[in-house]
Amino acid sequence: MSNILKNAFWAIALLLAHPVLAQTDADNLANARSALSLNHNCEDAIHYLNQVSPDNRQTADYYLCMARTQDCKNNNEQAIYYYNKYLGLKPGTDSVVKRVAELKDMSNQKARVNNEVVVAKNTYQTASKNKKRRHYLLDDNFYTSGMGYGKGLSGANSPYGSAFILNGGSGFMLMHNKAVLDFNTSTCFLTSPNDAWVNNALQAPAGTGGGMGTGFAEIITLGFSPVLINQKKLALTAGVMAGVNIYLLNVNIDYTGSNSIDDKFSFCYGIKSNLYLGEHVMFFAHLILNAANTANVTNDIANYTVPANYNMFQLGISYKFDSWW
Amino acid sequence: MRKLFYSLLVLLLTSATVSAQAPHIEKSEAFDEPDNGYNKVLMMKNGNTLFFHFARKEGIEVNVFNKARKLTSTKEIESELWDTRKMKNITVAGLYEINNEAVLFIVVSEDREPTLYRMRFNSTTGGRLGENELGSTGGKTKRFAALKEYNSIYVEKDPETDNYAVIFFNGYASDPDEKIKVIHFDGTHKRLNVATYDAPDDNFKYLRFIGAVVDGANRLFIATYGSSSWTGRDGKVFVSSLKAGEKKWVNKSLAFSEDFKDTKSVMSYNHNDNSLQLLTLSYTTSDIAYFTGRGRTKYMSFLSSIDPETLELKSVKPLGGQKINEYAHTVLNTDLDYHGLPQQMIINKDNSTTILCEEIRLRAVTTRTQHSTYTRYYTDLGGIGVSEINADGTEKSGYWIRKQQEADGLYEPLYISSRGKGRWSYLQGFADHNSYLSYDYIYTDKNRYIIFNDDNANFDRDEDEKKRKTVRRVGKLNTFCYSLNGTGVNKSFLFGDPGDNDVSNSVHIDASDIDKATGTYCTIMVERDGKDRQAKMVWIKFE
Repeated sequence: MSNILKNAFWAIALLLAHPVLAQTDADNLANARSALSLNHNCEDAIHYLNQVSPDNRQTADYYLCMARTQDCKNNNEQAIYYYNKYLGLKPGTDSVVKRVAELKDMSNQKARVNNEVVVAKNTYQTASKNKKRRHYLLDDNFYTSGMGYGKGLSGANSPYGSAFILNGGSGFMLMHNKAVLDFNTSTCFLTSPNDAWVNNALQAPAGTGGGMGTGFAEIITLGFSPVLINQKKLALTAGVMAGVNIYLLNVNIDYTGSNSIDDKFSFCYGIKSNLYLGEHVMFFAHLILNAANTANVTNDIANYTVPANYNMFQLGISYKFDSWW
Repeated sequence: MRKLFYSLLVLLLTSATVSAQAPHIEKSEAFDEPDNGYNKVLMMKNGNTLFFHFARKEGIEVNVFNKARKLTSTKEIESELWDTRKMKNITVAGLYEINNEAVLFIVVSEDREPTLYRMRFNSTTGGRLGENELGSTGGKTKRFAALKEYNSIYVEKDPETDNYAVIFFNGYASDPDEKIKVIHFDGTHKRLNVATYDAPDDNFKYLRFIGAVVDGANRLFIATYGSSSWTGRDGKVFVSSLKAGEKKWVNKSLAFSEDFKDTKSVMSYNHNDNSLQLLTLSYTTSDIAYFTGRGRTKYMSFLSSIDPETLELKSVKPLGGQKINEYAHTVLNTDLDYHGLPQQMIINKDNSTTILCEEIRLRAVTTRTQHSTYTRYYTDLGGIGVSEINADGTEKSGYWIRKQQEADGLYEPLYISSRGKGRWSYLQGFADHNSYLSYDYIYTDKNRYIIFNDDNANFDRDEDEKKRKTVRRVGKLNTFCYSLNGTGVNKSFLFGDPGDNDVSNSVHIDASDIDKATGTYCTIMVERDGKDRQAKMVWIKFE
């Protein structure tokens, strides 16, 4: 008995509920149509259509409304699908047939343009041998700033044995990244003075002696280096350079007299190699040779010239950054 | 009797055809041959022809020829705003007819800051009506500029109306938004809009103006090329639009131009199908040797059609010049392929497009003497290529016309396009004879013609003969005229066959202007008879 009552209750409840559900679907469709026609609001229309019950999603009204919503969202393929569903139920609706033809034409047009874009891209990439997103480390002008160590190359005749270097420069890519023209300046604080050389140079009297404090050299060069390796994260250049070297000695003399050693200006040249790692790290190695490896000495008796070797080998590390222009 | 009748009929028809194709030529009285400098003709709608001439230290001279081809006025023009006796610092940005007046746009680079001046001239008297300073680039030209750094000013006029735009390009500005400024004018020179460009990507270290189109008083479009390195990293071509009275730019990148290297362009409004048409020329590779400088730089060009409303791409086609090669292989019987660069884009009334090409080779010649070493630069201007493109972007036909000319200085790609706008500069340092080199393309409703100056010895050479006498000087040149007939060309002397006489007639290619409505081509010609040379203005009406 209780089962009979229960079934009867559900049967009555369903009968009562059915008109409510049908009314809701119709409302949703009406709301979706309003959203499209009044506000051109595709998202609201989709929201209402998603509320339609699955049982009522095979009606002509639903298909037409969904087609127009997809049309509104520029989902041409989906719009054509739903318009065709609608035409399956209501064939020969002229406005819909016309719109389907227009959408197909637009889709074909879009597909054609997309295809032309792909062809154009591939044609250019093949011609330029430029694989997509493959870039080389050295492909633009750059600046560098760093520091290093310098070593005097002739023990006996080097006024200073070593140097602390502040290095700066700029590189200009030439010949489509096959070479670098670089401007480089090395500010060298000369250390490890060679007292034996300075005393010999001054011909200091027995029992007296001279010495040197920290010296200073400015080496400015212009270099040309072919690019030997140029990969995404590693590049190597090697080449030649030439410029000027201004070598300032800091001579201290501990006896009275007018003895002195002149500062030196010399043209210089050499070879260089730079190793680039990643976007910002550069290691440099420079061999700098000087055209005039002598020093002019003045003492109480005479002016004379002594051998002096200003040649230097430099090793260092620099921060590489893009040019700002 | 019947044979005689047919023979006469054929003769009559032939002569009728010949006379239909023979251009009608009118000449002015002779005048002194203009010397080195700017020489440009402007045919006005009122039928008068204005001839502008200025030399390095002589100021501006304006000559007016009336409809009857008589010289009616000559004026020496001074400026109150800049020194017309110091022409070496100027660039002509354009010469146009605007509002029935001749308007000359001149960029003066006094103190290394390019400044644009507009000079208006009466089309009947040649007298100066007014002049204005329109602005400067806002940055001084660097004495030691990095490669590809420059600043310049461009003027672009709408061919359909009198509206025009001035584009100030400052390549030195570090902020991409400060690199380009535009002013849109109507035909009465009233400012419709002034706006600075809203760069599509602030990360672009390099942004260049590469083309502009003015659409009446409504809006203007510009094409730009941007990249984050000068070798083209992340390079892209953009098309941007700006409505009159608004400051907000709409930018759209061309999808196919991703990672494009250095790109130049010519842009036009195609009123036949309401689209923007863009010819781009992009650098691809180079195999130039380290020390000799020998090798070849290659470019690739594309023809794009863009919806002016949405800036969406409507089509893009690579320009390979296959029909030019077909012409070479089948008509000229050569195995060679054509390697010319596009130089100009012309949109025809039937919505087809003509791409004019020219083979270009840049050369540096270093001469060492006992005391010095100097280098001179030359541009070899080789064969002419004409590619006719259907409205759907497919190639309809192509032609290859052989020539071999040597010009002083280095020519830029697309130089024929900028020449057509009257753009000219002393700073290029070209020699006078350069003005007689290259070629002109004349199109009428019925026919298309190519004219250029060449040595008589080349006239009898067949088109399949590669070896030709190189034209280096203007001395004994005659103007050749080729009419394009669909499958081949017909060749003639424009001013008649000189035969064995020691005479020659050549035209000034740089100075020319064409009245598209009547198919009349006008320029200066030089008639030589033995050692006597005289210049005349010449009007040639092509059928």
